[in-house]
Amino acid sequence: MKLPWRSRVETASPEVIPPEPPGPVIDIYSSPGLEEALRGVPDDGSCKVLDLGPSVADNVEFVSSFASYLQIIDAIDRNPSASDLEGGGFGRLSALQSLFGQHRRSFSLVLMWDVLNYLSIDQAERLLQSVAELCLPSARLHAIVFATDMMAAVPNRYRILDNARLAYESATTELRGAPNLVPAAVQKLLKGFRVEHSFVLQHGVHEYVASRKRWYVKE
Amino acid sequence: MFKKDGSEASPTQPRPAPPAAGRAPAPRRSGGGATIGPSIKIKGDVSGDEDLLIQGRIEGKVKLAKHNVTIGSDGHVKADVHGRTVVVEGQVEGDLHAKEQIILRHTARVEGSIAAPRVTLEDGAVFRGGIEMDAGGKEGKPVVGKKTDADREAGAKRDDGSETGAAGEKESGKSLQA
Repeated sequence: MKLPWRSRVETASPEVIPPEPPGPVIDIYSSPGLEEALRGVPDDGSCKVLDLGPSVADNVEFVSSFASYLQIIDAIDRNPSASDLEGGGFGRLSALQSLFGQHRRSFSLVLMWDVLNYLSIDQAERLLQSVAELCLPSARLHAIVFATDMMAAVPNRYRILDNARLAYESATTELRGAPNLVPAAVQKLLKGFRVEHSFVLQHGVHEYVASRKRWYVKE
Repeated sequence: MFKKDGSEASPTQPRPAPPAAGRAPAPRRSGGGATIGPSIKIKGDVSGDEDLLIQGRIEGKVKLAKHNVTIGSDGHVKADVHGRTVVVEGQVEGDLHAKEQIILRHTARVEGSIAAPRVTLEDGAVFRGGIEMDAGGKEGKPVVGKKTDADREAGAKRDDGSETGAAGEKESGKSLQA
């Protein structure tokens, strides 16, 4: 009896290849905001960088090429089982404030990627107030904010590929509701900073580049 | 680069795990060394004149400025650590100082500051704190490097004599564009 083609193929290849376990989703995109933010930082080796995200080997390596100091805060708890997602798993404000003694008004560049989405308004305001305290008057801030209805349940992890490209990794496919962070709301949150550039990317990603206000006074 | 012992693996055979050569090289051991075992807990300062592997718990200070200190995967250290090189595979709450280099393995969890002429983070290492990048002093900025799984895989492929690996990431069709 003549076997159908499909059956013959199955007979010839009895090995069943198990599907690969799902890994993190990685996307690469051009980041005009990062490029713009880096234009404003001093290149004389005096630059201090405040990264509010998690430690990422590529980012540390990249920052080391122009900065003298890197502070990694990892402001958002990325363990969904341990964090209070409704309230924003934010328990790192004290770590930020502990820097006041040694690093007040010393940072030139702040990287705030996927942070604001995961904080309540009150938490975000307190965070930004602390950040402004830690920054030089000329400091620049690069923020990545999702302005969509839904977002990943835990913040994405961003890696710097070069001065104009980022890769982001989604550790989970689970989604949660996102706060309505339209540009006006973000500008309001960024007390102490003035938004100089904003970029709207696909998938509802907004990038903001802001400079610290020289006249900012802690309230 | 690495000679095999004549038993070349066929393409159908499963690829062996990447060799340790793909990782950040382990620091030289200056002969012998002490181990603090997993069941040992120390409260106080630890100092000495030999390399140290910590698999237990220490609260206090670790001062072995001329020797290598390794906090093993079972090690929990709540202390400032001074060594010639410091390698972390376990957990540290405290500042790390090294005269030559600091390596945070992919299993490391460190909260504190880092100061060394050479710093290596492996992908997966969790670090919260500050990295002093002027720790090289007169010799200049420190070298900050990284080791990734892709690096290890690439190293393994080169060892096999085949092509070098890509970065291990994909540019998906839904890339974001400005």
